[in-house]
Amino acid sequence: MSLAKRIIPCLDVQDRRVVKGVRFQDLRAIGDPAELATRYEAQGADEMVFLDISASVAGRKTLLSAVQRTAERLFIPLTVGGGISSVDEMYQALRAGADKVAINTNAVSNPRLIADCAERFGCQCVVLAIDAKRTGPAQWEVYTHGGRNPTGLDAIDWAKRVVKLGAGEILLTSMDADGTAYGYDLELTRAVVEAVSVPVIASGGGGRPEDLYLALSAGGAQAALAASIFHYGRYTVAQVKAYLRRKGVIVR
Amino acid sequence: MQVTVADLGVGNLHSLKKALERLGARVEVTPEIVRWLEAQVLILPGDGAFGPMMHRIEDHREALRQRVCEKPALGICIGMQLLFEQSEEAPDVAGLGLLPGRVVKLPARRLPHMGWNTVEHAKDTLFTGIPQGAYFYFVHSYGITRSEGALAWTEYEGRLVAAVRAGPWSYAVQFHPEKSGRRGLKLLENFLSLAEGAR
Repeated sequence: MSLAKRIIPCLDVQDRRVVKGVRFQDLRAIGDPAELATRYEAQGADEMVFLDISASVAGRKTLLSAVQRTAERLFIPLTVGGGISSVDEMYQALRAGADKVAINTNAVSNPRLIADCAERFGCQCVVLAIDAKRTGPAQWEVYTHGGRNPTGLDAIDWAKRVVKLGAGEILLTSMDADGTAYGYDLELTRAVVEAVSVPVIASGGGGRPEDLYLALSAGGAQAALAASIFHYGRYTVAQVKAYLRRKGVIVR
Repeated sequence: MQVTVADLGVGNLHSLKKALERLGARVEVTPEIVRWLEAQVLILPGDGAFGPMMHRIEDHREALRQRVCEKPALGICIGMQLLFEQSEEAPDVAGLGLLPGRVVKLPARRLPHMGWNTVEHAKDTLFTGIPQGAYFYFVHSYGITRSEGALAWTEYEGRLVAAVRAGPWSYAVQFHPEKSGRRGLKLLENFLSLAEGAR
């Protein structure tokens, strides 16, 4: 008996619709967030993540109304992210029905935000999202603004720092792999898992059940996040979990 | 049935409210401690930290302790930890002391203990219809490793108490039933029918 590895479908939301791009570009509409979330819960999803990719005030309002509709029928944890820049905005997301809030860009420009949110709501609510791009052997740089702006920060150093500040979990996206379905960046995943003492969610590149298996085994992640593998109906969450179970991974 | 959910000012109470309503309860979510004390059925939920939580309720410590002991109540996560005497998270702050023991920082390499873990339980109405080894959703860094009132256990680099009995009609759970899918809903349903019987 042991803690199960988590499988987390991710919904990128823009203008009330779930969209999916390749390498952070070329967005296509997929469906309604509340509807998709309930479908994934029924398939055995362990948690859900909603990201407002417009990261604007108007976008977040729309997202929170979707969160509210979703939370009425979803009985698994829900993480919400996109443009959250203050303790008050985090509070609104939690009140709308989110269990955790993911912070990315605003944590880089204002690291104090992580500590403030963790102090107010507990570190278990604060997910630090890191978008990392490979710059050399065993080296990755943190990007913000949906992958548009390089920061000069080393991803491993940044991960250690945000955990010290109070982040309770890291959502780690490889920008090189994101949306390609060619597999997670296992080296990046492993490096961050080893550098920090909080759970790490691997993200970006999961296209086949085997990719999720590798992220959770060789990569050592506590959870794997994926979007296109589920959205395009290639596999259900249940099929992916059955595969993982056959490979000896503990899943719910 | 009327259920009062204590609003401790942090975290998401939306799912808990919806879960209880789905089970047919009328739910009042309130920050007013007086209302908690009067409640027929009380739920102490929550994420958050032990110290600030206890500070909020310390003027009512004795009354709340008695309330939880005498009438149906369910503590969830930090709401379970508050029932004990003390916590390593805030060593200078006394808990409600309804249950003997001390909340400790979990002796694990990776914290929080976050995600779905299996629960083994003793025979009790709270777990009616829930198989041994069913998965529940946990998220915590502090917890109870032993308690006389323990009803259920989980394992995360060591044995942890997952549920305790806190009175004739009262319980507390370390996991989040409102986040634990249909098993969690079943547990809440069991609690509500126990509470119904208490009247």
